[in-house]
Amino acid sequence: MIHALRTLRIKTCRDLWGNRSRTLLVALSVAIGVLGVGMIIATWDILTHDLARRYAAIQPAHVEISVPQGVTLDDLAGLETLPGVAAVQGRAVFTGRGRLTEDTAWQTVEIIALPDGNAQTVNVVAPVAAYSKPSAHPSAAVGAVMPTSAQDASPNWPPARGQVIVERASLAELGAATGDTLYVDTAGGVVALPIVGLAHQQDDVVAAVKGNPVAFVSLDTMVRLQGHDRVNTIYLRAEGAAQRNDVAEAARDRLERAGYTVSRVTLRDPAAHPAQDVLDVLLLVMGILGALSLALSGFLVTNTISALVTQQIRQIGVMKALGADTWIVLRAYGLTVLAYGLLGTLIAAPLASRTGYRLAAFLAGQINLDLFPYRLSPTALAVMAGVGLGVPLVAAGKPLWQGARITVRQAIADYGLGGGSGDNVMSRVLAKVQGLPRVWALALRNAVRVPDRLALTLITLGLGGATFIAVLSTDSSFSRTVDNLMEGQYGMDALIAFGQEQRISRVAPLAEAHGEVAHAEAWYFSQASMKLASGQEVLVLAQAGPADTQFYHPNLQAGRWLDPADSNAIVVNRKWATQEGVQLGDTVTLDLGGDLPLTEGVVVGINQDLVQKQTGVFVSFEALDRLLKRTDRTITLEVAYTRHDAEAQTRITGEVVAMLEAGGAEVFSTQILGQLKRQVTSFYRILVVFLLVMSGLTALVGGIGLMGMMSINVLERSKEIGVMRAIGADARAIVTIFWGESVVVALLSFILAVLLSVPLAHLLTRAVGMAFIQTPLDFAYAIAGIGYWLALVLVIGTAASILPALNAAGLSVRESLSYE
Amino acid sequence: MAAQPIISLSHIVKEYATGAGPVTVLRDVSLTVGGGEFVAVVGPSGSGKSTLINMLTGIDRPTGGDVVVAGTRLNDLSENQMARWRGRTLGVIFQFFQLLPTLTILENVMLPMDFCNTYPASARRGRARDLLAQVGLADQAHKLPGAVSGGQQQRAAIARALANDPPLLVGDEPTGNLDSKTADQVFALFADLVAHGKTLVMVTHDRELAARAPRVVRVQDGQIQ
Repeated sequence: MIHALRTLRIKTCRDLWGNRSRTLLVALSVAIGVLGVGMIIATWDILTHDLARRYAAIQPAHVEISVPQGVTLDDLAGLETLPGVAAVQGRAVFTGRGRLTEDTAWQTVEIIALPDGNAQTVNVVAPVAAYSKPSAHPSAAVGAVMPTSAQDASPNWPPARGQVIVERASLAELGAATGDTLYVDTAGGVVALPIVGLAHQQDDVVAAVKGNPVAFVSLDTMVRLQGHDRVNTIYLRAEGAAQRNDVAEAARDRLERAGYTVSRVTLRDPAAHPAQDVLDVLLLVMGILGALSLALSGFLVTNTISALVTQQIRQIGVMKALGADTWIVLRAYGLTVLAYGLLGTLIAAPLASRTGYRLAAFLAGQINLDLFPYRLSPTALAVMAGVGLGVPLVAAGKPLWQGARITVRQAIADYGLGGGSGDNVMSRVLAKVQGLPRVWALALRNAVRVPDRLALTLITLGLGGATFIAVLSTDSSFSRTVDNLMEGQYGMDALIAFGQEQRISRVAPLAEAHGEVAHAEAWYFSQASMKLASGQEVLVLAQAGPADTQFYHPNLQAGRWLDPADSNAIVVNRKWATQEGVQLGDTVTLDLGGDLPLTEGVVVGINQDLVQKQTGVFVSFEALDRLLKRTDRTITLEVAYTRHDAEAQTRITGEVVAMLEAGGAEVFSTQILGQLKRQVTSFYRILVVFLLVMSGLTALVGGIGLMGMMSINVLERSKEIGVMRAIGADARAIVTIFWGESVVVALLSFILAVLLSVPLAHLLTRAVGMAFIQTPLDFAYAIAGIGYWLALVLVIGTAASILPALNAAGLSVRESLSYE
Repeated sequence: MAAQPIISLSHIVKEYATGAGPVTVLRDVSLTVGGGEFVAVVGPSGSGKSTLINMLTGIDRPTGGDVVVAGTRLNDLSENQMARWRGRTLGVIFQFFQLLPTLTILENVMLPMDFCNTYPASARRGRARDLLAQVGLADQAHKLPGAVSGGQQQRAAIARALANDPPLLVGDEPTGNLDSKTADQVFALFADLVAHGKTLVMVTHDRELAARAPRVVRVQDGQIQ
């Protein structure tokens, strides 16, 4: 038996080498399956690993404290002595407006002043030049992200007095380049600051999502801009996660004893990246697609190996006739299958690792993260080895077992043409279909000739198509949801913020004097801190508008809207109701900052609003006026136009601003509805791009599965091709038959894809909705996606058949007829 | 013997390259077959008789010598020209019938007419029915090949070979996979076709059947004896 196996091993090697084209085809089929799974696992592994290591390297805070009037650097340093405190970092964070030239529009800019850019200890902001130095190994880079000495730093880091360094993802938002001058308008008037470099901030979402660019200055520059050098945001790192609450309480206590008003204390999880929400969805989708890809790979490999074993039945019979028992046959062909698997894995692994890393780098770029240098993912390699070697063996199990148990007589009987008898229910039904041209009748019936193979190919390609249509449906559902929520909710076209409070009775008529302005309303917006009944404090955007507003239409999920007679009613966003358990009737405390008194409110309604990361809360304008002790005053104006396209919104806003300023009302900044929408959808776009890439890959796997099937069909039907050539078929007829067969399979898969896409689109749409806005999206099936997929699947069907069909047409009649 | 030769093989040599060097299968073979002849080619296994048949069907090409069949020199034809020429000029009958399993018997018979466009599309079905009636298979026309017996499949294959009304029929062991009774029936069909003007060349191992053919060509060691 040992000698028999040695001989069989030699036979295996010679079979592999002697049938090089078949070996390559089978190995490529395995490789495609392994590639799909390996790439997704590599992307997932590298992204999660690097995200965690990069974020940990900035020493993220456990506690964030807001003190609006600012804390002196001495008092800040005093917090370091508190028990359990490992490090303290202060920042002065304020907003101004900025622009690059006198001709460009002002836009809101968040300006951050760091006490000493070279001595940061918490939520470290890194100069880009030093940060981008590649590390030889991930572990070497951890802790080296922030230069510890001045020599390591970028030449322009930290920004000197009168200079500004822009957060790298904000550069595009500003439309600026290093070397430009940024004109900043804050409390200290307009100041020109040259942009001398870039920095990388990882403790906040990217500028596109945040809605405004971020820039860094020194405390000296801040004195010029704001007139003081105190920090209003304090980050604390505890010695351990267990001390986080104690540290927060102790710091609040210390600051309040020193006479400061602490407006907000937020507990942070240092392991949770600011983009964790969207990443969790991405990783969930990756997991689903990884499982899907694994299943598709399994189908692909099963198809190929089954066909291979079927082809070998005659040889198995000969071996059995010579004395090989079932076990020897199983061992021999198991070895062959393993060899195919190994070859496929060796082809796929480097490719999957590279493409996985590239995909991870693309996604990381979307969330302003740098990956560590390229390296292999051990997890992905292990999964690929498991899939590449295990799946072929499992796939081959049934056909091998059947093949090994076949009798000698059955095995060596020559039934003629091979490639499936074609005598099955589907063939018999299709044989009744008359009137088709023979070539197309052949193509149609050949497609159903080996039902198992057809089923697996249809599932592979059908799932690819269903994913494609489902992704497009998710995209259209999200767009519809955003349109419904925002256009339904926000009737205004632009929001105009003034440099200082204006009389409503003056500015509203000024704006409405423009011929294309339909209506103007005064609205109040303020970042505020809301303390919940649970004691948790959350950052909110407090909003108040006229009771008879024509612009804002709440999307109430529970309770009621505000009433002018309400004195302490508040409507909170659904997000807080879901995440923090806020209920109708709860009492919350709103801190509007500055010297304004705290105001208590009773939750009367729960509203859904996607703007500002769903942090909006509403109070009545009248109640706010009473609180602020003012009447007929506003700092912002919302306006609606008679035209609503982006071009008109931009043009009319510019004209209205000119009219307001001519009337003596200095405009601080403007925002049009399209910008708000972009802000809401920017994170989501990352997911859509990712999903489209993934569905494209699934389609590719399906297409290659189809090509594999067609290649196997050509191999199996070589004799049949010879017969057709012998009775007069030219190359064109042969190509048409195989192309037609491929297109028939592609069209059948298209029907399956459309059927599967409906439940899949519902599932995906629901999952994405729950993950992003905590509610199912308004479902909108992408009808256009059906058309796109039909075109794509016909291209796939044609492309998949080109090589096999040409190969078939190129076979000589003698070779074809002598093929076994 | 008919006056005009339909097959003319002149000094045919066929060599195959193998790992052990070139192997000569046919050695300076010349053969002439006249129109309307019924020729049985016999010889032991490996003697070169199938290769000889492949030369005159254009399935294989000679290393040396000329092949002229029905007035066409095959040496010069491309593969596509050869396929179309073959479809119009020859009817090939294989040992294992080689009907396409996904087409009905009737459709299999129509296929050569489709490939070579020899009859108007509207006339093909009727012609195929007539041919099947001629070989006694009119009632099996709409069955798939797998649903009929071996003898019926071979008769269907003969009907297919006749589809384009070729002057020459070539069979490579056409009765080799049939029982003796069915083989007799097929042979009788061949004889009838020859009686109606067809030329038939058939490789066979069956000595009895070969003896009933008007002309027997013996091949041994790559040469005609």
